[in-house]
Amino acid sequence: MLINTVLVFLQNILPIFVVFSLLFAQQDARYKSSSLESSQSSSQSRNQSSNQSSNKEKNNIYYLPIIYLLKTTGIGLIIVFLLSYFMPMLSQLFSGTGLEILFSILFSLIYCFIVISFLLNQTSSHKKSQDKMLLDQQTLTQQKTLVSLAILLLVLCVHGSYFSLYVMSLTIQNTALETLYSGIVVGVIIGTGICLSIAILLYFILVSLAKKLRSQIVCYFLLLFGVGQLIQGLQLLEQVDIISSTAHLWSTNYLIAEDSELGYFLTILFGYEATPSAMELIVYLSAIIVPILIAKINTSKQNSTASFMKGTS
Amino acid sequence: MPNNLKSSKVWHKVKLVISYMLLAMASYSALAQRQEFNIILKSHLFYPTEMTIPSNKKIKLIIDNQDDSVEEFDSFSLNREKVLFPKQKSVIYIGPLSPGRYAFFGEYHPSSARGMIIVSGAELDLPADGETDNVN
Repeated sequence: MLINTVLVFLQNILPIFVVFSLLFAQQDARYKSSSLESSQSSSQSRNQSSNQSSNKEKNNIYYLPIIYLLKTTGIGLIIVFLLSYFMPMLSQLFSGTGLEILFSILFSLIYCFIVISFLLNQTSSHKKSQDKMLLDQQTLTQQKTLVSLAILLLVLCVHGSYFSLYVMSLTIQNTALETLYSGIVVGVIIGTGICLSIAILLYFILVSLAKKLRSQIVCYFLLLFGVGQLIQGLQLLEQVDIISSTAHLWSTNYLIAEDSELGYFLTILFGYEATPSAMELIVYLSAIIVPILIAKINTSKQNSTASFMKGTS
Repeated sequence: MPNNLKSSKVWHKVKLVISYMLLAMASYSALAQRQEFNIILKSHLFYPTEMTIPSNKKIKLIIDNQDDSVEEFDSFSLNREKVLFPKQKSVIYIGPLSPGRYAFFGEYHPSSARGMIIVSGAELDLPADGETDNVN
């Protein structure tokens, strides 16, 4: 029971730790790149007013306050409990496809919010170089806070509810208290230790990347995580025949088995699939390419507007 | 022609195409008759433990959880993961698959709840579409 609890915990709770790690890394990357830019600009110009505005800007860059995170986690845990309690009833909706439909919607929402976060970060990195209007930065910071909290809440609800269901199934069984203790409590402690180690390691790897690329790489990592979530939603719809699935295109199980430790981690990190179908491949590639194209179009539009404004002034 | 009018017409056409595609996908899924196969979960064991299904065909798998506890049907090779609630029947669709052996297990009791789906390239003596029956 102990080993199984650890495995179920890792499979369901590791995505929550990974998304925490990615969001913190994204925030930290923005802060460090901003402080680097402001220090460069202050040494060059030594202008007092620009220093004041850059200090205010730095304050706006920390968009994930601890108090908000705690509140979101609290709300998330309540939703997790309610979701796992009503899961048997939900599963009977729509001719037994209720859970698949609900969870595929939630997975798609995670992806949508991650895309919004990706586009906001691309816009903010561009805007910073064009104009430093404080009001714009504050609105952007608020938007980033809301989107990040929405991502955390959704990931917590979706993945947490499966683990909560496992714990509830164990407690319902007529098992001795000691066995339950060793099975659940010790399993959760070991699982938390492993998840925490992976999340901290991932965070430090991401924040120790090259300074110029750090912010971009973290954004792309988060986008890939979102695409992985979308693919999980798609597989749920294929499972109940709402979306027609096709034959597997290839199998890379001989390279990295999906049920191996590395396979688990890669599946969570960017939706690694050893045996993808044509539909999954098309959705996966489109889900990466479309947001990148939108970001590029936005940037080129802003560039042309800025050059036009320069010309008129 | 004003740009707004032009773009709204294009958007209308795009919506029409998407609607037709979704309708076609939904009606295809609804009309398609799938061969049905049954699996029973009892005392954390799957019955039958091995099941043969035809290759390159999508099938309907009905899993009847007769236990008092929740289980999760899981298979990495089939890309399937379904929560099985106590005293309830759950349905999943599998395939089309190429010939081979595809393992599945109960995630909450992986040491006992294990099984194998064998996809056979040979013609199987199967019941007519829509009828429920066990193979093996």
